[in-house]
Amino acid sequence: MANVNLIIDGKQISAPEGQTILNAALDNGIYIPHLCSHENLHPTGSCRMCVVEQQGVEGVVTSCITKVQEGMVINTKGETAEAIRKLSCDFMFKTHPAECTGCPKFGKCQLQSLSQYVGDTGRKLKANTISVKADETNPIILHEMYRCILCGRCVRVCEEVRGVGAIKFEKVDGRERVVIDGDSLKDANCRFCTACVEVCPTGSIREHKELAEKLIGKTREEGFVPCRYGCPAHIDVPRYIRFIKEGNYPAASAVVREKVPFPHSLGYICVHNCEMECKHQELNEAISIRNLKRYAVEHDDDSWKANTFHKSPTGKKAAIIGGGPTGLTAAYYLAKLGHSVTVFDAGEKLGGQLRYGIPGYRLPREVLDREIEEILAAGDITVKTQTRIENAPKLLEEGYDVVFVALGTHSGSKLPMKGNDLKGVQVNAAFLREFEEGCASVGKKVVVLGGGNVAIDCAGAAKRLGAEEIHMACLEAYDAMTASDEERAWALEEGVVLHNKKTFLEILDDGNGNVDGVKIQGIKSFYFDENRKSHLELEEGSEEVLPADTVIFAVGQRPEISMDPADFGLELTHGNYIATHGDSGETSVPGVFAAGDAVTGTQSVIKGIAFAREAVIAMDRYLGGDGDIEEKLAPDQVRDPHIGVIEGFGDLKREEPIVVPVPERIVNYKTCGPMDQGFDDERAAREARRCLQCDLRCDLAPQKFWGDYAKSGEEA
Amino acid sequence: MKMMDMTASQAQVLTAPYAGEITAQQVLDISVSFGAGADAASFTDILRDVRQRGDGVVIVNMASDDKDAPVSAFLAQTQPEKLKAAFAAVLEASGASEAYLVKTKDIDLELDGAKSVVTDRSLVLREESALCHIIKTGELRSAPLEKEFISEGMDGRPTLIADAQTLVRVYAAAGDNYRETRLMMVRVPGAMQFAEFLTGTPLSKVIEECGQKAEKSILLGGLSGLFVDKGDLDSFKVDLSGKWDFVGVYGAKDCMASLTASLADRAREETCQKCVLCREGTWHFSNIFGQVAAGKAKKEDLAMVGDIGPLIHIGAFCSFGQQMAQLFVSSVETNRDELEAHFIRKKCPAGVCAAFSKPVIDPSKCTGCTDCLDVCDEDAITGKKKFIHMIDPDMCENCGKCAEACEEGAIVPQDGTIRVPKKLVRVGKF
Repeated sequence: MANVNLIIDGKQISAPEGQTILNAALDNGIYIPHLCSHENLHPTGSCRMCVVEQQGVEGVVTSCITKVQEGMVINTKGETAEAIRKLSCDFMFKTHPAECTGCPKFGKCQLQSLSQYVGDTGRKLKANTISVKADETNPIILHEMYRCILCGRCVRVCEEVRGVGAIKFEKVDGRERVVIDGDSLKDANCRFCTACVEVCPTGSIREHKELAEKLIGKTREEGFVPCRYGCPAHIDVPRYIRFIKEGNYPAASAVVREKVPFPHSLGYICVHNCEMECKHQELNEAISIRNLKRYAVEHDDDSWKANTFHKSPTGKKAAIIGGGPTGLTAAYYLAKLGHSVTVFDAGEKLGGQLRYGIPGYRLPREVLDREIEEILAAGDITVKTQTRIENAPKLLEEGYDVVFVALGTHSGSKLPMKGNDLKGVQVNAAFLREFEEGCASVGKKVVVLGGGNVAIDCAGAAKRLGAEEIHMACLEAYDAMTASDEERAWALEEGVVLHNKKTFLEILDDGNGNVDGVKIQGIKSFYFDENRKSHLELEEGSEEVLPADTVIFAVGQRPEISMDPADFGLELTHGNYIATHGDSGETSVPGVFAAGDAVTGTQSVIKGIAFAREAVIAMDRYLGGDGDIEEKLAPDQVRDPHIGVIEGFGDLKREEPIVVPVPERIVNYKTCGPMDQGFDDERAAREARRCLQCDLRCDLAPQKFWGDYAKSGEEA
Repeated sequence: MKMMDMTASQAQVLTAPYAGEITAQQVLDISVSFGAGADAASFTDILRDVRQRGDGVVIVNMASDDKDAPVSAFLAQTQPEKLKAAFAAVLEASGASEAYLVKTKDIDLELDGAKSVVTDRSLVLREESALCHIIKTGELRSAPLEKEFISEGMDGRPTLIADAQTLVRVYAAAGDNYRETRLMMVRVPGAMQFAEFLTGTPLSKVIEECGQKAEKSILLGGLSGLFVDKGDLDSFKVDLSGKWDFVGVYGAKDCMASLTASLADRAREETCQKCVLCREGTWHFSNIFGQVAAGKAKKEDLAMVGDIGPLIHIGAFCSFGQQMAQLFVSSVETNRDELEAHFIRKKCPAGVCAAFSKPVIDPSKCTGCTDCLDVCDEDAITGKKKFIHMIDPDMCENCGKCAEACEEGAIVPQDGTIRVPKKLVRVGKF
């Protein structure tokens, strides 16, 4: 496009044909006040702040809607233009609450900033404030329209950019207002994308307080897209959901693989921190992100492999202790970086908790095996199973350049209580390992002590081993249990009886050294002190006995290492976890890094993977590399800002996965396939549609203040 | 309202009887303008341009008349054949592929080949961008979206916009004995009528020919016009601009404060409220002139009109905002004494404003019962049994209790026609 020459404030400017005077000025470091104008929106010229004077033209011209023309001579600071601006600013302020200090937008309000720029005229106009109450009834978005100055940016962004039109101008009692086009935002088919919040210059349209607080201290990308930020590995959730919506499943799967090497396994068993952050919970329930992930991976065509990086051999050797998700993630990336990797694992097979902690009826072993195979094919990786490493730093002496400790927590613990060594008492980690190996057994009446996901797995495994009656007791109230909602629901479906807010007093002896029952007592409250010691307030007279022949402790796990730090060769924390400093997993010994459950205590597969990635970056740098493991596996995506109307969008219900019904999944657990069958095509398509596409907000231009332009002007 | 007696030498060009169809070629051969001064444009030049560029749009705008001067509705009612004939010829001559008739509910006229868009009457629709916007969205909005920039025509297509009067003028120009005239509504005390004058006729002559004399300022153009000082009448000559839609001549019993206040209220109703200066400006004008008419204004309020008015006149987005600001500034300039009388002397010289019109007791209805006298807190009523009561206007606070108490309905606002006794007179003896 050709350029035209004009003069603005005495400065000779060459601007592209078709550009507005306002943008030409801003691009050349000349600030013209403006308010209703927004980079992503069509200009309307309604705020009158951007008026300027043009030589040879009577009156003023509106710089946001007037295009540059050859030979134009513009004066942005003429007396008339400035007087009009001040009047417009005066007018807007007379409709707006006079006090700025109490407003949540204080200091980030464009009207406030603008009025400081144009200055106070002292004109004694009558106040014309708007009497409309705050509307806090809608999810996510809060309306305080008594602050509205009718710039119309919200209406325009909703209508023009999003194609939704959930808000509109309307005369109410003869006075123009921005109103919802319906009884509520849901009724107006709002897509809850928060574009209106993003463009509102004042405090009129905002997030609800608790959501706004979550943005503090975060970048736009972090704050606006909570699922991605909530995922420990920062998988770009909205991007792959959009690919699913577009029907491009391999691309969706590739997005997941950009951050994790176990996408399929995670699709089955991830604890989905993303869903816990999902803003859709404000409407009804979170997007079923994990099931969408699984669906995408199940429809992958391996096209991502063409884009993955493989660096040339470095000649460096890395030892990895522990072949679980954390260790194998490190092995995967270290091998791709060109290092020679050896994985040591005490077990018979690789997989760690994925294999020995999570029962096969939840995560099919062929899925796990295929992913491990894929990882091992990533480069020069040697596997030494059934090899227990007693001392980590020793491997450095044996010629390894770097050692990564990812032992996991495979040692279950019993609580110190009477009867904890009776026959019939088992411990979570060993029990689940035996279940995997096919040598576990339980009696008819089982009591599981604990309320986490592992406890649920123990109960589920016991059920499948033939237990007739299963009770679970834990300190936490139902809502405070660490087990996820759906796993808890499945356990209840399978007939597990929950006993919440109970403490365990003793395991009763049948007189022959066998378990006879568990004595429990209700508690009113409990907390852990700084030494992780529990303090309980008991409920008098609430003791009861749960009859049992088997008791399984599921109250935490620890690394399987000697309690003596000297033995393993690394500094330990008081819980026998490995001490590290920083995010990179450096231990007390240079060259030895650690991550995963052995460092953090039992957490989750996704956290182990995320920490392993951090550690790999540090280890690669330690080995002289650049630590760059970022890869772009998916094709480019066009984020279409025009999301349009979906009737009843706000009330679309979360899709539930197909689950094998109870008798079948218990009786035939070895042959019926995974109990959770995930999504079929229709469910996946419907669920993907529910996504709020929070990431679209990042594409809207951030609000600028006159100081920002001054800065960019100096640079220019 | 009675029709006024038009005796003088008015023109009859637009209002001449229908004389059959006209052709597209006739339309292309004539020369007709619209607008005046800097706004003047040649209708026929634009028509030829639309024809030449092809794929054009023709819009007939019959929805932007001043409420007091419904020229379009008048012509639709009295000259439907001419409008239809002229439109058919113009549409054919323009070669346009699309046409719209934007009109108000009270207009039944349909034009063959034009889609009718029915909307509320609004002066904002004189803004071409607003006219395009209402066709596309039904929403009244002067501030356009960029894609509707009118400088490039509707949707960037060559666009011809004509009002009813222009179409009738085109019809007349295609015939014989064409002279350029303007059809206008003339309002004089107690009467209103459409009149047609040759362009160039001075305002003084228009008033004279209507049998009037300018006692106060003249309202030229209604809500989008201005008040012309009675000493300045010869500066204004009939032209084709919008301000010659309406000529308002006011007399001793017309209150310029209440007139201005009602114009300000109308401005507040008619603004599309998109541009800050017009939206808030109309609110402040309506507020200030309302206060004036209620006797509650201060001198600073009129000064405020003089402060913000000229800035709105220059700075408002569209012609509606610019012109209404000029109207209120001119009212202060030309009607100052009468406006100030309301809040300085607390008096409505015309005796119109309700705030100052004290009640009187109609001597023909008063029975001398003393009921009103008993309820008056101010002791403003004099009287005794069987004598006609009287209200002292200086003491009366206009609370209305006496009127409520009077069973005869004898206590009414003084409209200047009720003669009252000056001393106590027996009932029936006045």
